[in-house]
Amino acid sequence: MQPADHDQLRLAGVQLAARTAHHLLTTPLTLALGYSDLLAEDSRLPPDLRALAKEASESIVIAAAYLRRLIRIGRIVERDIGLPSGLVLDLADSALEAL
Amino acid sequence: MLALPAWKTRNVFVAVVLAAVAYWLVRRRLLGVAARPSTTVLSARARTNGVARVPRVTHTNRWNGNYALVVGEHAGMRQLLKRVLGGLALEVCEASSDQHGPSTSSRVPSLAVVDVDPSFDQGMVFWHSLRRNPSTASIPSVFLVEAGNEVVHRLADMAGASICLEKPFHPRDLRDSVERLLSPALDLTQPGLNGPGTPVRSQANA
Repeated sequence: MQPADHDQLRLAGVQLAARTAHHLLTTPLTLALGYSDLLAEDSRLPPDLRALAKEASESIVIAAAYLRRLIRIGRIVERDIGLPSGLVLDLADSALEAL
Repeated sequence: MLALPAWKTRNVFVAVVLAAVAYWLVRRRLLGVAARPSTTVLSARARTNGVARVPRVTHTNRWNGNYALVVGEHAGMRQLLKRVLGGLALEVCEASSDQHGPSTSSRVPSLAVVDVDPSFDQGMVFWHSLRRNPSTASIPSVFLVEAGNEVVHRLADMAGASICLEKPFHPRDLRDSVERLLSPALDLTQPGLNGPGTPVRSQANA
């Protein structure tokens, strides 16, 4: 197998995993975002609990943004963050700007 | 003790009753006292001997003549949608994958919210059966689609979606979309409004 073919297959494998993760996680994230927003805007709750729900909501939005980047992966750029199990993707450099 | 003539007593009684009824009507209209949302589940099994059985809809409570039909495979999503739309005091009626054919409700839904899951197509089967029914063919719809999934976007477009909202979305984005569709002066061709099938990116996906 040529190195270029190997890279193509590797990229296809990463894209397959990314698409699967995106598809599987979209609905749970939608539920989490929906309910945390509903709690954050529920006037029956005390302000401190609503603030916590808003924090959760903002974190879910960040998670959704990572998920969107996953399906834009167009090349493999790796980073060593010291994980014993190996390298991780540099998502910012691996994802294409526009889908 | 002041004694009133009988005719005066009767008039006072009638006036009090009329005032109470007027108060009840005004309170009901202005404060939305009767606006507690209720939910109804379409009850029908799928197909019997290859013939689509028509789901029946039972309405328990209505507000302002509007009710929303929620179509989707995922029970959790339908629950969320019911809660979000309940915030608009809409009656919500849900339909899942084991239901086919148009509703026999005497009233046409004000709009439909369709959660499109590309893994399953039964929700779309139900939606297309609504489209084939002349009484429900033109109801406006919000389609919930996966962000970045072009296939699902095209699917929603071909199905005649009024608005596509990308998942995940903030509940307020869905409420905004629904209120735009329920607006009596809605003109989807007006600049600034989304035409049929035009995707709306939730602020969660901005």
